[in-house]
Amino acid sequence: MRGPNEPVLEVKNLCSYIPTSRGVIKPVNNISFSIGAGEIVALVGESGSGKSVTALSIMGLNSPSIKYEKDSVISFKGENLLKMKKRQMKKIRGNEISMIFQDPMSSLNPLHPIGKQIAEPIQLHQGVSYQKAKEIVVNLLAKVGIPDPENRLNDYPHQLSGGMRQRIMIAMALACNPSLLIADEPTTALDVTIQAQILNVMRDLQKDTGISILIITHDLGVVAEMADRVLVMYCGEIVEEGDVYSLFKNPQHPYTKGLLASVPKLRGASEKLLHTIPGAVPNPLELPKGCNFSGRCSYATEKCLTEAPNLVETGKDRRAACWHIVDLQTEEVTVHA
Amino acid sequence: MQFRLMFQRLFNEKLAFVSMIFLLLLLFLSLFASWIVPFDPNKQDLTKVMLPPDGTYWFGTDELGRDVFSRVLMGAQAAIQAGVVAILIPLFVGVPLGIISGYLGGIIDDIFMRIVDAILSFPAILLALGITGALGVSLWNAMIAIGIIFTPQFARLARGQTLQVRREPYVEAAKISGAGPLWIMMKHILPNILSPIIVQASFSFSLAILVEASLSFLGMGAQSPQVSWGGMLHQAYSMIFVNPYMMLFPGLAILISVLAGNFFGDGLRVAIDPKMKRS
Amino acid sequence: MPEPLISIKDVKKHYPIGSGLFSKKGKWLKAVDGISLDVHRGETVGLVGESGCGKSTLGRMVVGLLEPTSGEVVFEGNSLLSKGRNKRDLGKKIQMVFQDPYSSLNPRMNVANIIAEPLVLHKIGTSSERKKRVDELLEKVGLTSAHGSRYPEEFSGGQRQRIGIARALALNPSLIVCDEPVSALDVSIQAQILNLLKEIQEDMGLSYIFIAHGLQAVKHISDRIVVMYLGKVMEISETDQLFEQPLHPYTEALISAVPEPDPTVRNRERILLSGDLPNPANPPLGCRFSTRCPLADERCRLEEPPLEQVSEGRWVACFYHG
Repeated sequence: MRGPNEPVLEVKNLCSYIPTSRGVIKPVNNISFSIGAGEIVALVGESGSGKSVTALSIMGLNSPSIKYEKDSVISFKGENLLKMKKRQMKKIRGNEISMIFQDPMSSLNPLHPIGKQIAEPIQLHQGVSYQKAKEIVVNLLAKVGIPDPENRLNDYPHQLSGGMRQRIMIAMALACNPSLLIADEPTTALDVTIQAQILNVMRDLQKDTGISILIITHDLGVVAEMADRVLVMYCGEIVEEGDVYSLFKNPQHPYTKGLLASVPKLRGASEKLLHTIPGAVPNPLELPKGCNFSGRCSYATEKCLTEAPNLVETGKDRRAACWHIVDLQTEEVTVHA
Repeated sequence: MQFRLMFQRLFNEKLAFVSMIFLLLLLFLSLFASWIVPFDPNKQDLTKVMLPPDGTYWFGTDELGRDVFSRVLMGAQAAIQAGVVAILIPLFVGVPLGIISGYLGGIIDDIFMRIVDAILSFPAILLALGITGALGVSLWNAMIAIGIIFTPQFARLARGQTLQVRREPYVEAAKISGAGPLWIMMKHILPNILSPIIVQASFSFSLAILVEASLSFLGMGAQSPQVSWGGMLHQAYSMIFVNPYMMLFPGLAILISVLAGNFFGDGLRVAIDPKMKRS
Repeated sequence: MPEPLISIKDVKKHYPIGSGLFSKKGKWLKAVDGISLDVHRGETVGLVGESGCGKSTLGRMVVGLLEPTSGEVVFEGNSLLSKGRNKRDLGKKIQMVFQDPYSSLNPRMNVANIIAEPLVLHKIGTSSERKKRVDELLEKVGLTSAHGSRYPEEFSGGQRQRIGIARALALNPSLIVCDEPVSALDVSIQAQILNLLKEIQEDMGLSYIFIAHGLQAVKHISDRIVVMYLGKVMEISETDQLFEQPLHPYTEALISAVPEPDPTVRNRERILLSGDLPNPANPPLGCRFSTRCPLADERCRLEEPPLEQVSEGRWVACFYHG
């Protein structure tokens, strides 16, 4: 396994806020993590956890209403992306860091054939002729598993299926050999058998090119299949971090634990009732005083209600933000109903 | 719930809020004009013709010595009446037709929409002239004509909105619960398409004031002794080089009322759907 | 075998396509192409398949939102296709829970009115009796009567889905068609709703037709599962059997494609289907799955395998089933 020795991307104290008439919302509240070269990191969380805002912060694509605290740093190859000029950021975006989205249709221009759409940035960034760019495109399309790539160049986006479009998006994202690919729910809109294909493509490409991938998803299955390392987010904070094997085997934060337990199992006999996390994600304007998860947590004590735990080292490559980590470790993995 | 929130947003749209206050004032004036006016708007005083504005005659007097200020106030009545009638007809005729057309579809939709197309293919003012010509010249008939002209727009709007809403799962849920078409149109479609219709109504209101003024100016609207801004303009038109004030005040009244209606409509649109801001 | 609650008999739904002025006539999109299925009292049948398999269309025909092109749906011994009063009374007994908790509740109605609407429409009870019933229903789905006066926008996705379930329960149905009821919800909320549906079933003894593309939820809640592909049934089986030993190659591929939340099995043998789902307007000749099937040969491409019973309660449409 690749360790995070030489990080491609380092996020430090990323803190974003939106001032509203009814108070300040913090979509991302003081998170720090890094992505090593060639590493696949998964950012997991439910809606409102801040995982997409984090991704868009890296890309510099957040809406202007989202502001950053002064000491927030997103360091890519030694430079702070948050301090970068728009023009510089444009050079990095798509060239060195690229992104694919849940809905590929929204990022493809319906009026141009796909060949042209992929070739253009290659011409622009690499300064090659259209003919040369076209060759590169055919190669890329073959790489992402599109059959008969020469003849697909003149197809328009609407002529392609959802799976094919996502392959095109991946091809476009890889066109300029970026060192980091951010994949925001890349398979959520796809059918199961197509999802398996796309995940496979991403895995193979990672092996071939050694690119780092930040995959954002709510699906723990996708995480388990893809990631080397996992970051679990809840209410804008990272509540747990760890390498994928040890995190799934021994989740330390009650939220991670509850999340894992609430997925129906595909193997073995069905459980009668599923484990549930009671309640719902709190309103971002009315976050609890102590730990954000305290209202839904069966381990919560007085301390949890008044004091927010910090994300602390809990073992080799493991971090968690919970007052009761020690208690959890002594228990079996599948306990508590 | 939503309406409170909408009102709050409207309050934040300063211009729209001021416009709303102005329109309310205008409504108040038109209702109580006969009691407020300092002079009888039709009382002639040939000793005081075409005076410029002063302390007694705030807006001056016209060529028959009538107080222009009182006449502008009385004119508000005609304008507001035109605006109200001209949106009531499309609201009560156009909107139901649009909803029925959009919800039921098929041959009914085809027939209704072809009629609408036919009406829309005439220029509005020509159609208004034609209708008043046929019905006879009076303010009342002019208002009906304006209402008829606006009806197709409302029908189209309602139909378009209905086409979007009728596929919503909550409409399907109502069908499964045993609801018939009438129930669905009244309880589920109408309340959900009302917002854009209200916005359209406020735009139409100001347009109606304008069309009424045009018709009266052309002599096809309000007839003497009834006072209307358009009529006053017509009267002032022949005196333009003698006493320009006569033209100024009714002109300003029309301008400000129409602007207020449009600003209010704009603000309302933003208040109802903040995403549409300044498109 | 007792009489089934509902019998779907060779139901088809075909849509004309390209009915424009210049296109060729006689082209049909066969969204559902001959499906038969019984659902018994207290049973949950899961309908699984990828987009275009016709599972939602079938569900809509069962609740009466769509008319089948041919075939018959018999509910408690009466055909649902006969028009008029009878149909309305039968319809009371079949309700639906929708996928999208946001658009399935009228934003201009308060929660109490949403839940009471079916009662009002069927003229059940006085207004105070209805109010009592609404409070009961709210409690049953884990909300309180205080929620009744609020509007849908004030609720989270999970709570809205609870309101949708309360509405579906208002008329005391014997069958609820659940059309992807949890796929729009967050993971931790999905489990809450699945548990709620199970508890309600045990409490009221009703039947579910549970439509989903996610196999996990279907496996958890269903007694039997119907696997569909391009408007046809590929396999019918009791749930645990289906997952232990899938017979149809499509079922096998479907199960194997689900990403499992366990990194230790990530390198397992997997059946990766090649190619895309065919366009439902232009399905392959012969077996519909033949274009993507690892087992397909000449026969599969020419001849359509019939759905045959291979053992008690187990049906498969494949010449070379497992």
